[in-house]
Amino acid sequence: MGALKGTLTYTTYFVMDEPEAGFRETFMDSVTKHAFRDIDIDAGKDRSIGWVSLGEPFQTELTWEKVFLDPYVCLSLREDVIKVPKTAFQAHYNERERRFLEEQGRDSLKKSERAALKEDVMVSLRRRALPDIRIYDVVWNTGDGTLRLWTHSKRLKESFEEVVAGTWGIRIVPNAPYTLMMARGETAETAGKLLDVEPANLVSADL
Amino acid sequence: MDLVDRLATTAFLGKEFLTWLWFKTDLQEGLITIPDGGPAAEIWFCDRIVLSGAGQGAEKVAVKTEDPSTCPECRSALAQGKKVETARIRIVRAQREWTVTIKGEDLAVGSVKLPAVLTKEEDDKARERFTLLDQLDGMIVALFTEFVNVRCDAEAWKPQLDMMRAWIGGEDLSTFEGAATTDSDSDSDTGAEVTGVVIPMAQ
Repeated sequence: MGALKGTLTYTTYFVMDEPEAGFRETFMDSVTKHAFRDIDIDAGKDRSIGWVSLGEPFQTELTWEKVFLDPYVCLSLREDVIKVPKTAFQAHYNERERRFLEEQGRDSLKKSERAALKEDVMVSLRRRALPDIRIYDVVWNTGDGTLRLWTHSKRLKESFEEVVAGTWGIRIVPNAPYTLMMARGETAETAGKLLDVEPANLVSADL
Repeated sequence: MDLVDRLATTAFLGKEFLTWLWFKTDLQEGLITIPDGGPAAEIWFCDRIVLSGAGQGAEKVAVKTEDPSTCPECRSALAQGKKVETARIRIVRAQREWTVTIKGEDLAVGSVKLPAVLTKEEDDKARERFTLLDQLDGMIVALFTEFVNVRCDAEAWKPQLDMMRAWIGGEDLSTFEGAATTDSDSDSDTGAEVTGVVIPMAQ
């Protein structure tokens, strides 16, 4: 479920930098530049990831008015993946290889020919396949610096952190006992004390 | 020590926090003053709880139960030294109810059920949902901060640790000095009455 309906499961991050003057323009440039684009199959890609409007996977034209719901910046990260089943690929490849050898009047392939044929078959199958489309909502409260990503997937979190760090120009840290204290000005000093705390034995003082 | 090491070194505090919160809610019969300036709240552990020992691959006890406090398997796991790894918690405050699953390791929240949204316009609905989430996170942060303040203060932590051990051991807690006071300062509007033991809070 996403941010707009149903039960909610998300990962919280803390934005560690105050947005600088002119951030809005820089941010929108970055979001527009990294708006979702279809998978570039001809370039050998099987995955694409980028920004769309919150909860709208096909809405890639993004403006500040569309993404800003004061004080929240709202977007979705869309990820398309094409997976060609191994067995289907093998069957198509075998047939392609057989035809190629028949046309050439030969009974074996060079290594480079095999690689080229495999690539060609994979691209043609990717063109025929429907991508798996997933969207992960992202809501940034610019007032208190919390940033929520609607997933607990480790793989997606890593992709998200890369996208944000590489394009938004802000530093984010994931929610955890330590960062919960570190990220808030009034408790930042306490975070250092946590490092000296040892796990408690809740059963007995003697053990 | 880099951030990754700091996160790993302090991850155990999330499990201790959930265990402490369970202890606190059990003793105060669910009526909790969240130190954020708002009204008192009712907080209950419900539905499902997972307890585990320390370290990777430690044995886990996962129980589906309406009330973990009266569940023998949960009490037994606590007595074996296990702490709360994941808990489903219901929070009622100012007639609004949140239900959330919290993981101890990173305090990640999941399966959040929000109070009913009251606004009609789509944009306002979204904003209200996000505000309700902010309120939930704010309550969790306030409770965790309270725990950390106690946990990092040896003088404040010692009596709480003694009481937690007694609670886990099934002892009579009324013998603890300062334990049997009522939370008369709380401005509860939940309608609930405090009849249980109130844990002395850190200054």
